[in-house]
Amino acid sequence: MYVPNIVYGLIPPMLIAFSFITPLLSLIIKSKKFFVFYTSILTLLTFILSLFIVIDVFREGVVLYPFGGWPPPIGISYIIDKLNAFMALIVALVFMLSIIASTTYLKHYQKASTLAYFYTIVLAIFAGAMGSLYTGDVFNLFVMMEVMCIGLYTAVAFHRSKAGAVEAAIKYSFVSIIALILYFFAAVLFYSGFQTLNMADIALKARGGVEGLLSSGFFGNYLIDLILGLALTIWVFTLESALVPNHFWLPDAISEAPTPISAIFPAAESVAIYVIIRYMFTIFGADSIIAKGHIREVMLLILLILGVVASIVGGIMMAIQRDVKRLLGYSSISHIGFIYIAIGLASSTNVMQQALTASIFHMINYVISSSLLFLSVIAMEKSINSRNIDDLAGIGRILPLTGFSIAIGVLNLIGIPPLGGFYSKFMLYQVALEASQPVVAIAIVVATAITLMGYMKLLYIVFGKTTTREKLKEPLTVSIPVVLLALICIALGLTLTIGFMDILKELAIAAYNYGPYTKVFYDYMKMLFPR
Amino acid sequence: MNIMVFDPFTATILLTSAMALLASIVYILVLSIRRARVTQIGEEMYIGGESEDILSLKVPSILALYWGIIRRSWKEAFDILRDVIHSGILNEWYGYMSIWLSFLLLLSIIAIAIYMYIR
Repeated sequence: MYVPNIVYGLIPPMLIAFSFITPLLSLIIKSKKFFVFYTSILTLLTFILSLFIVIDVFREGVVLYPFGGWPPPIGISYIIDKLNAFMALIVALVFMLSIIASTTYLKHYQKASTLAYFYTIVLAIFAGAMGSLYTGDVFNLFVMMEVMCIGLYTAVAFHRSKAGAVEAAIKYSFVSIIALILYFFAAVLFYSGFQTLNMADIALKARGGVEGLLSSGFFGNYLIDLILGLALTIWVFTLESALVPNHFWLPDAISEAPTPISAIFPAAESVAIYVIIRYMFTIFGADSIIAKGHIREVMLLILLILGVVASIVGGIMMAIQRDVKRLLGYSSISHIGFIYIAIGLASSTNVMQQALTASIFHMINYVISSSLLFLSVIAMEKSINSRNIDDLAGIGRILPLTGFSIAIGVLNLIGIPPLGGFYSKFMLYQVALEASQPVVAIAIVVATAITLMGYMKLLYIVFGKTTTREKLKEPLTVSIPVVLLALICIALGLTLTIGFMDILKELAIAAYNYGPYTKVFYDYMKMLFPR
Repeated sequence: MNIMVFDPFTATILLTSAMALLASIVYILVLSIRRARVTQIGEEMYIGGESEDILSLKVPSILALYWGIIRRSWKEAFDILRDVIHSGILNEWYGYMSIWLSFLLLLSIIAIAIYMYIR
């Protein structure tokens, strides 16, 4: 009998368990170094495990891990394919580097318990993000999103003596809790119609195949449940990924959160975008029942329009920011817009693969570059104790490693060849033309031009005139992660021709080709319940 | 005659490297040719409401000019986006969010109605 490797289901429970243990440890252990070491080792281990999973999934194909031995669709199961395995690797990398950089950020705190408090939150967010990516269960996704978001609300309010931080956390939690409750309602609707919560099971049923399924047929008029449930799901995850008009919480939350948490936000948003891709292409793809009434196409068209609006609104708002973190928050909104443009263009089946490749590639570029820039802010904050762009002018000259990394990150987000950001925008442009959407192609160029105004301010930080020429000491715990991310940015573009493009295409195929995703579920279910 | 055909990615990398190489050669040439020039004029200028006689410097910097033009031409867009949409008031956020939610729900109700009618 096939026994799945325990590693597939290990990461989220392990992180949650250690997150719970951390406050207890802080009662006994009073060493700051211990908590830094303990969390760094944990995140490194998680990164290695997620790397192992990626290699395994690329070699062996989709894997299914049933929790507690409960067979799907009765129990919760993780279904890991190339897309979510690779996304989890990127998320794990960002978390690992953010935690390493956080040691500099938290240096001035005297008490070990403060560090324990911070790392408890970070581990919970990490667990939630990894769980949301790996899960193959509609309800477990809700639980894991809750874990991630509750961690994020708490993290935003970390500086609890600052009114702005508390206000941002309250606002973020108010809107996000409402959203997640609506997703819970969507899960209820899916269950009521499809009689199952397993994503692969729903995907099979959405294509009309019910033969041999343990969850048997449908209940009532399932199409009504499906349409309403999908509408709610889209709304919720556009909020969690901060797509216009659900983007308001992001600039406040991202600028008031501790900077290592701000660096984690792009990864958290990418989780929500992944969920949208999973729902709209794997579970309810172009050949599913929902595509028949064109409702899926209309929903994707709306996402396309909102993506265009987001990319322009984010770009305009970037230009009038003085706070570097707030500017990066609006930059996030703009890039999320670009990603949604690609997702919207994927409604046309003849460009689906290219559009999804563009969206996934742009998402990877955005997460890496945006996290890089936020981590660079830690070095700047620590050096001159300001986030105002005017005060930071020319700081790249006195912090050369940070300056180099900021320049690479910004150029990648602008889309300068030969960095990855250029190719993802180029693909996006090409897809828009191939999908006979010249207006969208022009909008992509216009939005990029508008964002330039904001990015020039960031380049001003690197190349501007400074009052001092004295080089400052750069903290290694920040310099190493940012330089590493900068090198990844360069590698993302340069490795496209030598194999990375093929990997991206495989990720896109994994997103819309539901065959392997559902087969692993079906085979496992049949093995346990031969009929 | 042999015509080399590259895929877009290789072509972009080659062209960018060629352009970077060319730009660096030109930069080195310019550095070697030009004379040393020391001036402070124009570096501390800003766009302000004062008349010219108050300002000691006659030429504003290129950066100040750029931002002056951008701020003027985009003023209306900035005002609307900042004061009307991004006011930071939670109730207004709920308003915008509800519009998008209501729109999606309305769309799904219409889809359901069409589905029921067609069926």
